Amino acid sequence: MNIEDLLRETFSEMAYEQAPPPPDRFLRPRPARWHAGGLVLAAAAAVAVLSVGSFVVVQQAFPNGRHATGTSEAAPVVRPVAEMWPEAVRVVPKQLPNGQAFTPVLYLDKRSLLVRTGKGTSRDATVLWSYDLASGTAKQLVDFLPPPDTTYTSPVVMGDGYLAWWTISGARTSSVKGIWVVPATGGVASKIATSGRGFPRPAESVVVPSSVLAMRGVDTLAIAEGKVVWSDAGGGGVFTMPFGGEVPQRMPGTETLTLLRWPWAYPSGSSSSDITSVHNLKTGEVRTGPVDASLRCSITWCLGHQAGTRRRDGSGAHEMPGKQTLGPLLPALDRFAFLCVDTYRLVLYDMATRRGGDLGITVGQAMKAKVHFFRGDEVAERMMSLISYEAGGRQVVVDLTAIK
Amino acid sequence: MDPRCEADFRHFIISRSAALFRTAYLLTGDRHAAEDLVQSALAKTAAKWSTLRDPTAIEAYVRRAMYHEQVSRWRRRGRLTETAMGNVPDHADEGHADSADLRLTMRAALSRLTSRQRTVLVLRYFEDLSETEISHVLGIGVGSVRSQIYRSLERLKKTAPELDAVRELQ
Repeated sequence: MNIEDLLRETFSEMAYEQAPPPPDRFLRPRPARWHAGGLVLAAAAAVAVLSVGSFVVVQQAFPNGRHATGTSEAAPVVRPVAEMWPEAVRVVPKQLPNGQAFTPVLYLDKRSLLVRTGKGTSRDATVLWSYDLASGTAKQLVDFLPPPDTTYTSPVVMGDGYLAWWTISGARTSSVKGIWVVPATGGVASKIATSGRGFPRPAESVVVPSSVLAMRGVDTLAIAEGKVVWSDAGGGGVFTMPFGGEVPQRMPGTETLTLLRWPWAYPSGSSSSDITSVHNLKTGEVRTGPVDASLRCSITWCLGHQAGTRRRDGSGAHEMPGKQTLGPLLPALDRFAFLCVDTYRLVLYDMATRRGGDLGITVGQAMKAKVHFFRGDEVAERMMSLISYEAGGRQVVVDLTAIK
Repeated sequence: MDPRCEADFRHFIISRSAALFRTAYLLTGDRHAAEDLVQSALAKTAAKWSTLRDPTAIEAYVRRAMYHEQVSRWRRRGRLTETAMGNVPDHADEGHADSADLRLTMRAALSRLTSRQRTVLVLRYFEDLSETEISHVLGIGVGSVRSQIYRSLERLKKTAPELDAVRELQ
């Protein structure tokens, strides 16, 4: 360690010792907040400088009674993720045999990972490989040439024997969206939809807030019922398209809905922190609530400002270990949270089973490594089925779908 | 501001205020000052809202407002309003300088930097910005950023000599 690493550790420790104030702290009821000619936020009142206490000590006992004995100030003991869920954790090298750094995307089957290299732009195109876990060898799986001026290649999803993703090409004002599919066994990727050519226009009556999603052009992409399913960030609607192409269809009754995670959608225009209802596109079931604006809910589970959690319907309320949730805005795969435990350790926590696994890296290392689940990339957060991160010179892969 | 902008602004605050607060807390070292800093930067951003439609530009604008305000606040007051850090030791006990002790020592040393020095360190080592990015954000030359970082690290080592020995201790 050198002084620079120590600085990084100190900053990340400090950054997470204070729970951020609720957003309401910066918003005041109308009309005081909004005046003609501009916004007047709550006045920056002069405040006395108060002493910040020493470290906040984690006092919550870890569920299942697994916590350090002795003083009440002891931090919870969380077992390493590989011990907690051995079937879900693999360690792989950082580089392919040809020396290229790669990122795990999803499990093609039990023996092989789909991995990607390249930044996803025209200059540094995404290449998709099949990585054999037993032999450590990789072969290029997909023949994919992004269009000229491609600036973004999305994460990849798999279903019904196909892989699908999308690209954004061209300048922001005249960017073109493309949706691509290829059989999961490999081959030449084909573009089945392009904006401007039969690409459906979103319902214009719905105003979608500026967000990271709006920059990306497509909210969520999935494969279901033998089709590619997606929502457009420009407005409402859940659209489908067969693998072979054709004209995209808007699913009936989805004009004001945006796909969250198949088959669930939410009212278009809601930010991730404010999804007050979810709608099942297959059964018509609607789940509403909660009234509490401090909760951020996916389909079933919600995250609070600190380490509180509960289901959307109010059941299952409990305190998670540690003092704060980090990373994705919504529970990953509708049930996982990332927690800061014992001041700086990063823990993966399953709200459904109330179990946690220590990822073996500090919060600071996770931020430094720019891991996708920590960088506010909502698109990646919504589409991911696994997480991967660097530790000890290798990559740890945690298959969230394998955690039962 | 029309209702649509207000809704956008609300969404921005709801989704980003926690991250902004964390940075503000590192810049100021004090919870209340951090809340004030975020609020003041948001007020400035709101005034410019109609010209900032790109989400990346919005966040960049708020952050730039925070950095500048923090640096100029210190200039106005002539002295950083730094929080007393409870029982942070000035120097870690010799021979027991484990990682937690070193971080405490580092915090004490950070509290003795000027606001500008502290800001460049937060930008470099927490926000992970490059020297060029920092020069854009603060509106100073790259050479100046480089020397600020160097001088800040030197000052940390001078304030707390045990930090200079970090490499040997590990």
